[in-house]
Amino acid sequence: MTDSSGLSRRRFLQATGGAATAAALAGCLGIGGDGDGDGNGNDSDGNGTGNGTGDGGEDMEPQQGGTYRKLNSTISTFDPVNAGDTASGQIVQQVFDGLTNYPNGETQPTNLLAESVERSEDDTTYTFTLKDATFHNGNQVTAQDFVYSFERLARSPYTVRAYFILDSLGVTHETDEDGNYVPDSMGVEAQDESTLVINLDEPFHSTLAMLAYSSFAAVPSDAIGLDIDAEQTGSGEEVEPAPEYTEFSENNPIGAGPFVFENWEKGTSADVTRYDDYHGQTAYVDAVHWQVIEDDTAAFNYAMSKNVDTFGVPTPRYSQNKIQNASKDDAGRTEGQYGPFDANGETVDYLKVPEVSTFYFAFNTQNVPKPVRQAVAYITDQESLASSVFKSRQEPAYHLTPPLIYPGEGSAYDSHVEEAYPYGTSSDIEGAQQVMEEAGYGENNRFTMQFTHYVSQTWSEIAQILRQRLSGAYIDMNIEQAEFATLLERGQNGNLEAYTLGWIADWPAADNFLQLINPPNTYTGEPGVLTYTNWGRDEETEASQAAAEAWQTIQDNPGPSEEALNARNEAYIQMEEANWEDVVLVNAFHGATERFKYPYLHAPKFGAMGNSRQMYNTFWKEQEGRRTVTGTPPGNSSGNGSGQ
Amino acid sequence: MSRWSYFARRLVLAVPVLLFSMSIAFVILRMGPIDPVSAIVGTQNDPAYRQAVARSIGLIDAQGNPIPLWEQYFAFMRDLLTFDLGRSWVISRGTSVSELIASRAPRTIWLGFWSVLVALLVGIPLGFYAGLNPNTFSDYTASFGGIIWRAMPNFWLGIIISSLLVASAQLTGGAFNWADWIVETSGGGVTAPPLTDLTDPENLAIAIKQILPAALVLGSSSMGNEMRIGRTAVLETVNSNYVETARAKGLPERVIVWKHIFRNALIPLVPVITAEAFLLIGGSVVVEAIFAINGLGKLFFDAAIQGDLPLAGSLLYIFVLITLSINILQDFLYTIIDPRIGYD
Repeated sequence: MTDSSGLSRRRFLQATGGAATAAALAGCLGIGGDGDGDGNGNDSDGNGTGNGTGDGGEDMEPQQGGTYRKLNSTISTFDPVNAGDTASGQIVQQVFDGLTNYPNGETQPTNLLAESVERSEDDTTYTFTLKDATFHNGNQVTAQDFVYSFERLARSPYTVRAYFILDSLGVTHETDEDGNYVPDSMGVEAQDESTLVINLDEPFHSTLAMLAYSSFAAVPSDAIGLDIDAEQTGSGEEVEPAPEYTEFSENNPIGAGPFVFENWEKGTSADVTRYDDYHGQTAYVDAVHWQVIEDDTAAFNYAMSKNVDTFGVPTPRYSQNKIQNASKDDAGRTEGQYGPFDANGETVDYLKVPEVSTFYFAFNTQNVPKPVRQAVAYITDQESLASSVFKSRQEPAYHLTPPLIYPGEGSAYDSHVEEAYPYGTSSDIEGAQQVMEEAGYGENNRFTMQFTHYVSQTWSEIAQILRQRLSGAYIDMNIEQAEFATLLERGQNGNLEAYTLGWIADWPAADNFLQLINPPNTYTGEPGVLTYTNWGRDEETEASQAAAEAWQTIQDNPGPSEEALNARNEAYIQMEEANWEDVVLVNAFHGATERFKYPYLHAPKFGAMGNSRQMYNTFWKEQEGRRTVTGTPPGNSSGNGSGQ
Repeated sequence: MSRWSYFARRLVLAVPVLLFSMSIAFVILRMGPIDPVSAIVGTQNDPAYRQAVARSIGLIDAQGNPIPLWEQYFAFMRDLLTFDLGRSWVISRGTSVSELIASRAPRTIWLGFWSVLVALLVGIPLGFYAGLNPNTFSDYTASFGGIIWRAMPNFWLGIIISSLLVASAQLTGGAFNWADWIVETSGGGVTAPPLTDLTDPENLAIAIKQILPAALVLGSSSMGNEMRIGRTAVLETVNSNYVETARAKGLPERVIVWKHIFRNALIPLVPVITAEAFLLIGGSVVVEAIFAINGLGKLFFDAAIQGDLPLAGSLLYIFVLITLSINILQDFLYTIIDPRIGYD
């Protein structure tokens, strides 16, 4: 199922519109989506690790009250199946609950609305028993609601994640002759009020992780009050959303999450309030307020006057020397203090979490010959790029698979790089010259290459550094910037030579990344193209064959068993090495998210799935000495903390 | 020519200007490098979905054939001229453009209003004062200040002012804290003020205080301009014959200044002020971004770079309409202030 339609299981870095993720790398690091853990309490079902991670206030009892205030970028909708960007997604995460969830944004999913789950012998049927929970309108959450929600995900006119359920997860379904999904043909059924059965085409190792996506959240079957097809009215050019749909998606989204939707002032702010009948840990804070600020400086200044409780720091304002008492935990997260800030003299809590994402330079192998690609790999010094351009806020990358999901995790990742990375971890200009000279290039026979990156100050700096170094290796690099949409379009048409993009995990497993270098997924002009590299298209190379074979092994072993896992792990490493050999992608960085929070707020650390997948019901604020904090923008108080 | 036929002629002449500018807008937005379909589909780059999107925004017909550009152009012009502003393609897909504009316009107008007012109330009196006391120390101070204000770019001044205000307590050792001063607002004038129930004095005070830093930045260059031009205009009139005559008649200085100098010196200021009035609506992308006032300027910028033709086109259309009407209004004001100006 992973390769058939070609469109499955993929997601480019930088979502439509919101662009929070790419903006983060563009130099502000998490301003738009500053992170917080979600720590959803799994106290009632006892099957998860839920609330475990400490929050710095170990000896204090959580206190009720206050508003958790944070920054956000432009929100587009609250319809779970329509919210493709992280800005909308983090609000959906508070209002809607699904069957499972990533506790604290960690990579291991736990049950949320599911009380328990059983897997059939052949790994293709999952039976969920639901918890006793209610929607915000007072109705019981039933299996029927999930059937409706999943049907919406598959065929609502507004769904942007239909492939999640039909291709990625691969729920059984019928298609008509055009390949379109046949309504109500999906293998999801409600056996009774609280038993839900999901049938898959074939085993899939990340089923529970996939279901943790907010797109799979429960929506009450009467929330919109329309047939799914009727959510859109009119035809042709005059299509518009039905008023009932707009009411649901903009004014009155109803879910079963820990917070009830309150208010959305478009382009300015959004508010939610605590849901007292929540099935899990009822939230400590009374409300959550999101202020929409997209400009880094504005957001930083806003945070400096304590108008928000957590925030990011733009790279120009960031100084590594201000990190104090930093320590690393087992998951590779750095914790400590940061400060004092020049603007307000405060010292805040600092958290840096490596993310499941990779940014890379890619080459269209039809236009850029192998020695040139190898030369780029030789001269690229990931470590120094990360420190000089990002002030070490991003981690250098050598594998396409990020360390957290690399087979054997971080230590295996590092040792494999040390043993086997052919191009050295520092900038090796001699190596680059040598490989170029061997291929017949020289001072009088230079290679000219067009490098396209999306509009961003940071990538622009990186491109300058590359160009300068490459000129010593007989390569003249022209730099060009393109808007994200333009870049994708040109890539699909095969009009790129060298370019840069990134990938953020759809689900936390290596195959989600390595599909990018499965040779058939690199053919431009084909519908399933993921990287625009045409690897082995004209003429198969040894490495491209190896990669294709390894991918086949992964495909043949999709199940959750130990044996299948080992086979996959071996194939993952083969693919990484094949990429190293042919240099289709030069891996550059793994993303990291930082969270800066005023000490009066207690919030669990979040995990590698990132800040947009957190729930705020375990956040709490120290009440004493705290001035009134209201949810109304922005003439509200500056919410003085008592932490100092 | 009578006043009314003069206006009729001005109005008729405005039509080709309007048509021409909208055509340019169409060409730039539609034929530029940004493909709206790619901008809309973004991560979900499915060919069938692309087709559906292209059909829904009128780039291809039901059979999948591309609709010729000239047909798109006529549809675009027809919709605008009949004020059928349509729905946003990219920025807020499916939301009607008029709703988007209505939700953003109040803060931009509030910002523009105060920036024009700040410029008028500070720039013109200072300029006149400097002009009436030429070559004194206070003239030099005012003139020099005017040049400085004029020269400081908004993107720089905005960041500096907002950062200074945020750090005001830290910098003054707690003596002055902008956030708590008079009424409590968010620090540094960041974010748009709530514009609800402005009849309540406290709400009004918050709304004004919150917008002032941004208004000062947006009005800074106009303020400098008006100061410099005001000074020159006063200097010119002070030395003119009729002022000398008035003085010879023994008119009191107050009458000379207010009746003869002030009114005449205003003439060259009228186009400067009306041109700045455009700030009222057009706002400023830079200032709105720095102060996180998500108004029309920011909306237009986002729409333009993401190929949101209906939204960017409608905003441009409205901007052009306003500019044209302000120009006509300006000519009208001229004839009232200075009856010597003819209609030919």
